[in-house]
Amino acid sequence: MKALVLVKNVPDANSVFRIASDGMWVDTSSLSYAINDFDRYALEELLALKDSGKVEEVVALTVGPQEASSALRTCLATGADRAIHVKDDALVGCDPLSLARVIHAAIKDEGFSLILAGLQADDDNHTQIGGLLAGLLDFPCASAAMSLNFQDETTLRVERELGNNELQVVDLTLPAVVTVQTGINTPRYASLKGIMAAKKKPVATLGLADLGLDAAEVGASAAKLRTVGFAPPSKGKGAEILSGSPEEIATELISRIRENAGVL
Amino acid sequence: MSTEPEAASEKTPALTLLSEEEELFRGTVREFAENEVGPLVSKMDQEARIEPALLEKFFELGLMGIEIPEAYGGAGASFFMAALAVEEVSRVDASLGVCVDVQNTLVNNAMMRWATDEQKKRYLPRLAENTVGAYALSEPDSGSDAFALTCRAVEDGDTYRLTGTKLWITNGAEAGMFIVFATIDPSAGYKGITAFLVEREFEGFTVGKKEDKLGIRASSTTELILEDCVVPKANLLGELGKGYKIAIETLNEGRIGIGAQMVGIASGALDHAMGYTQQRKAFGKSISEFQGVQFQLAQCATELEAARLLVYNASRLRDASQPFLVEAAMAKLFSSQVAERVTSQAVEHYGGYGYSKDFPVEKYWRDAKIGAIYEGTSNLQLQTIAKYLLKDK
Repeated sequence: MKALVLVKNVPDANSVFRIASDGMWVDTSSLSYAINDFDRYALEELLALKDSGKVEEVVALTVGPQEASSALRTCLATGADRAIHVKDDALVGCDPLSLARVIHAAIKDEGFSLILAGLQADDDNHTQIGGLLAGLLDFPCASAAMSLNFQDETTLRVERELGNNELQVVDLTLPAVVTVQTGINTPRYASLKGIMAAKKKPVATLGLADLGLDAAEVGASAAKLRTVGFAPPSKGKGAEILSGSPEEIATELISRIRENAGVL
Repeated sequence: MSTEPEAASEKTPALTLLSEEEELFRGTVREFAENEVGPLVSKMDQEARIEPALLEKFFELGLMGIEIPEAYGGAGASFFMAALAVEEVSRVDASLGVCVDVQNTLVNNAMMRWATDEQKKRYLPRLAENTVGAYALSEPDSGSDAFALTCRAVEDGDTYRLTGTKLWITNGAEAGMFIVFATIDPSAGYKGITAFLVEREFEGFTVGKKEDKLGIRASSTTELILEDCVVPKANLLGELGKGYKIAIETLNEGRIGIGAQMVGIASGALDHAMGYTQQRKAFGKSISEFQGVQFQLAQCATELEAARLLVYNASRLRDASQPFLVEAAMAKLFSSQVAERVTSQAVEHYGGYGYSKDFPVEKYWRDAKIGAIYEGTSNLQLQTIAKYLLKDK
């Protein structure tokens, strides 16, 4: 069984975030990037399936500029077998539907039985790619997975996290797409052997022309979802800083938690 | 397929420009050290012992066999990678840093250079996968004057019988394999010194007292007692009477490793100082807004960068098979001085909190002191450098 994980290079949470001069996104010059946290859990899920012999090949795919290849290197160093990097300047500013079309074009002939992605990207939080790609492939899709278990060769049982932390249990007939929550496993670290082996693993770099797509269909000009504004979070109201000795602060805090939150 | 951007300049890259693998490795070790080692640092310092589970993870990550070739179960990476690992681990805990350092820059290094193929087959896979190594040169009355060692090796059929006491042996408590230096003929001076591969289980071998130290407390420093310790002749490392060469030349890489440890210590202390001075308020503003503090931070950062460049350059020279003896001595000498200054400054930036064990910086200061002492004191490094400067004069 071949499996695919979709990954994204996103700004590291420790970066300095400033709004860009065009007011439509953050200033990327002050950012450092890392693999999207949700995607690390998706990758680990597949690597564990490979360890247990249920998956033979794990492929990682990203769409992004040259720098995004570092996310693929991380996947290869951690245990993915090969990678696909779709990059094309015409894709800057494309919308999620176009992005899903691009990924679809890149993988439709690969014959993946299982496609995993993080539930969302830490930066734009669209949570759309997994679902849109499933639609284009005519695959079933389960989102917010908390666990994945094979029932038989073609049935995958997925526990999904619902709004109030309830779990819904669904069975998917493969091939299928699943988007995963964080915290569902413990992502492994890349070993030095893995890092050294990664450079020998194949990375296919594809542009729109290789995929038979036209910038007019999937580029920024074709976007039907466009960013028209961007604002920093509004200042929170009602925050209060308690003063006094540590003992006094702790006593006050406990009484407020009791009264207001009803937790204790 | 799209065309790749043109390769970067063909000129020699800057020392701190890392390759993709080096960058990924440094990031991984940093993440591991911060997430997995960080929470245990204070406990390990207090209990003066390394958490065994961490050592297992170090083996899994490949940190204990960095340069060991893949054919022997190692990662087949560069010496520079070993220096990066020592730096990043030491940035969080210098005790674990020196454990990784001794394994890679002394034990594995000596084995790869001097062991026979048969010895490599027997020991390198173990060193890469699960066995901590130690390097046993010093004795109660022989430190800098290493060739005054008295541990005696006497031929006995297919074996040598070793008798004597080794002292200040890093990793002694955890190690399963020791490179022990002994003399086959005390009257021959340094020409009697011979290296032996001794396993912890060998008859007549005991690990003695563990030192209660000022710094790097979690790292074990022990005495080794050899009483008619039976070592097969197949475990002679290098040639009879040529052990002095192994002892001295292996320490050249070792010094770069200690330099990397000191850079890691200084870097960790400076990171803490940067965080604290921006958060601590005095006279209505962060103390980092005072120029006096800013200049101190800037001085520390500059010295740290200089020390790192010395360590990186010596490492890269070693990987390029170029002479690096003087550069290694300079790297160790200077980075140990920088580590003392930067950690001392960090304690002062924390004020009273810096003097308390509830805060992290006093440990960095204690850990830094060893840099001027082990693997050749600062005076010995100065002697090496001076000898080179004046050699043809």
